[in-house]
Formats: sequence, structure tokens, C-alpha cells
Amino acid sequence: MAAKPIRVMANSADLLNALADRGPLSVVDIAEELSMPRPSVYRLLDALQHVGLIGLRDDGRAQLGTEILHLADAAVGGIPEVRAARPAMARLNERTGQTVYLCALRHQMVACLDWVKGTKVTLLLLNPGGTLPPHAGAASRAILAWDEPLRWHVTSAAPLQKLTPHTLVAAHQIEADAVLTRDRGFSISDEDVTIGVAALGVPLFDARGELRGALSVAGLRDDIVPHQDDYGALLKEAAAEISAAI
Amino acid sequence: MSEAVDPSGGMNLVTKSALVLQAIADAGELSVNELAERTGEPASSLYRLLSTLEMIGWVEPGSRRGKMRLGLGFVRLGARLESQLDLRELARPELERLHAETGQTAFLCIRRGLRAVCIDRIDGLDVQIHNLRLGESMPLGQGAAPRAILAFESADIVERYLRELPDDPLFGPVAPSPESLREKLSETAAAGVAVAHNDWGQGIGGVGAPIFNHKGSVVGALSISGQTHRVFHSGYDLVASVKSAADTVSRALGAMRATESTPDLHERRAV
Repeated sequence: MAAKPIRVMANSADLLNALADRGPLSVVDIAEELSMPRPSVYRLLDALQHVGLIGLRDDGRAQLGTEILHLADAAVGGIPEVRAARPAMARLNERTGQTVYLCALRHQMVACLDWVKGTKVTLLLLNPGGTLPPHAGAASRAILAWDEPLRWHVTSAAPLQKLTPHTLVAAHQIEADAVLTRDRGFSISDEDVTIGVAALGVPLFDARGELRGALSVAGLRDDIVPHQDDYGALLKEAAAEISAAI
Repeated sequence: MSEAVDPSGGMNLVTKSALVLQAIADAGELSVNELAERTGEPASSLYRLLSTLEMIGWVEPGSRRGKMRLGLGFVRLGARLESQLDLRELARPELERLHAETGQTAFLCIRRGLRAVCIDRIDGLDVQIHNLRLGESMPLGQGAAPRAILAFESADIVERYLRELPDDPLFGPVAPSPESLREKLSETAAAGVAVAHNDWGQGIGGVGAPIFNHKGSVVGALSISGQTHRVFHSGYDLVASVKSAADTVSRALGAMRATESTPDLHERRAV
């Protein structure tokens, strides 16, 4: 494997990420963001526009191209867990009205593969393609509870990053939570990622019993915590159905 | 490929990458050899390109050994782009253009439940339409824009509408029975536009056309309405104008793929 990415592609990725995070940008903004001379920016924009990865607005600013939407759909559709989980996720969303997440471990982080948005609020902290550290959030803590090597890796780096005053940061807290979570069958994330937001998570295993990810239900704290037993049971049911399909 | 000897500064790597991504997108996941077969690129150069694409998060190892699939990077970019695309902002120039061309009232509607809500409008020059003011809604079966939405909605929504609204007093003049509304909807779907000659009575008629997103789902509709004798008997082709305005918005939402309509790219792909 090459040590460094090919420069023009690394620049392309930096440009698309900047457009994703900051919205439409002018050539001047882009030149500054990427530390590139303007003629090179024009060449890069031209090449990316040609393949649909960026679009040019009437005001001359660049924005993400709509081809991205098709690639995003194909990327999500190419993950077997996503296809297997879709019907169960839709049903969970229908029955709870809350946001339903499908997450999996990627490079020691817990990444959101897919979601069904809640009917009441859109949670902004975790979106498809976004990640959370493995010690915070319901999906993370469900994975962490059943993945011992990961837990060892995580706890050896303690104290961990504190996202809110409720985030578990010490090794003994993580270990205690893992025991509780395994006993209960699902994890409870109560304001450890965002104040006012809670979530419940269950692990997903494949037919061979290997841990493949986690499913979670998230929403405003008052919509989750009082219903944790009901929603926990629904999650376990959904997880069993998905596991059978993977 | 060495960037030093490439006069384009490596830009054709962007094109090559797009080809690789498209091939993987079409197949779900591919091995290097399969990719070489499909793109005509030598496996040796694909190895280097794929390792770069993996580093930037555009591809990742697939579920079977040796196969690559698209990376989560695109999932993140797609989610961001979707949240950046604003229907009202994208449709506004088209509403203005339609209004300037016709002088009639231009509407932008979206569906909420079994009704269409007006989220933008520009008033006509000669009459003011009292229906469907900003923020107001109408049953999906009535009026040009609502019906343009309903005609392209899932069969589920159509059936629910017919079940739950059969006694709506306004249901009558357009289509006295579920059967006649179904017929009207299939006409609308076939034509790609809803033509309302006198839906609301009072001699008001119009044309509505659906707006689609990249998944091909209907997300709203644009329409022009006014006095029937003005909108349908003037110097402009209302159906064509409204349709092309709605198509422009659909394109901006990714409904029609840029790569499918750009002959230049096909030439490049053929190379």
C-alpha cells in the first residue's frame, strides 16, 4: 500500500469534505482552504464537475454534485447489513416515532451506516457516514459491551474523551457498564453524547455469532428513558430478525 | 501514473476514479481483476488508485475477501448534500421565470399527510387566487399542483386518500367518484403534468408538474394557475413551460443524472 494518497485525489477529497462541512464555496475560499494556487483550483473544479462530483451554481460557487447522492445510495446499498436491517428499522421507527440508527465499527470508531429519522426531531450529532467514539452513545456501548478486545483497547486509553458530564471516561465505568448492558440485553445512553438526548442500543450478530454492529433507537430524553423497557424489547426483537437475515 | 510527466496535473485520474467508482457502484463490490476487466485499466495502476481511494474513504474492503465496495465517505457526503439542498431555494428562480412568462400565479407545494401545502407562491398580475395561500393546504386530489403530487405518489397514499376523503365537499367538482379520480390520476401520470380546467370553480384553472429527488420519489410540485381563458389560450405553451421548470428543479435535486445527459462524458468513458 502506498504511504501517501495520490495528491490530486487527496485534494479532491479535501475539497468535497470542505463543501460538505461549509456548504457552497467560491474559488477564492477553496484556494485558501486547500492552500492551492487558483489556476490549480480551476483545473480541479473542472475535472470534478465533469464527472458530476461537484456542481457549479449560478453565482459561480462550487457545491457538492448530485452524483454524490447516487454514489451515497450505492455505498449504503452495497453494505449487506444495511439491506438486511431496512425492514426492521422502518418498523421500529413506525412503532416508536424515534430515530433508528444502524452502526458498525470502522477503524476503532463507531460509524453510522444508515438511519431512519424520527418523526419529531432530527438528531444532528450522528448522521449517516458520521462516527462516534466507541465509549459514547447507545450503539457504541452495545458494541463495546460484547467486544472484549475493543473494550481492552478503549479502556487502556482511559481517561477517555468527555463529550458531556455524563460520558463514561474511566476504565472501571466502562467495565461496569458492559456488565450491566450484557445483563439487560441492551445499552442505555443517557445524555452521554448530547445533553437532552438519550438512546438504547442492541448488538447485531451474524449467523456465525460474529458481532457485526449495533442497532439503536434515539430521541429526546423524555421520549426514550420512560419507555426503555418497551423499546428495549422492540430492539431485541428487531436485532433477532436482522441477525437471521445477515 | 506520475504527476510530474502528466500535463493535465493528474486530472485524468479524477476521470479514472469516477469510472472505477461507477463500476463498483453498479456491481456492489468488485475485485481488482474484475475492475480491470470492466474499466480496461491495467490491474497494476488500479492497485495504486484503489489504495488512494481507500485512504480518502471513497472505497473500503467489501464483505468478501479481495473485493472492494464504495466507502462510507460517500455516505457522509451524500447526507450532507441532502441537508444542503433546499427545495424552496432551488425552485424560486423557476417560479419567478414562470411568473414572468405568464403573468399568472405560480405555486410551489409539498405533501403533508393527505394534503398539499403551499410553501411558496408569486401572485398573478390580473387576478388574485384566494386558495392555497402561503402555508395553506388543499386535499391532494384538487388543483393542479396537489394532483401532480398525488399522481406520482405510491399506490398506498392514493388508496389512503380515496379511503379517507371520499366525502370531502370539494372532492365533487373535480372527480365525483374514486373511479373518476383514479382515472384523472392515471391521465396525469401518463402526461407527466396535471391539467386542471376548473377544479376550484370560478373559472380558475392551471397546470402542475411534479418535482422528483435523486431516488425518483416525488417531493413536491410547481404550478401556474389563473383564469382558465387566460392560462390556456395565450401565446405560451403552459404545459411545456411548467414541465420544464419542474424538470430543472428535479435535476438540481439529482433526479436526472448529469452523467446520463452529458455526451462529453460518454466520449471520455469510451476512451
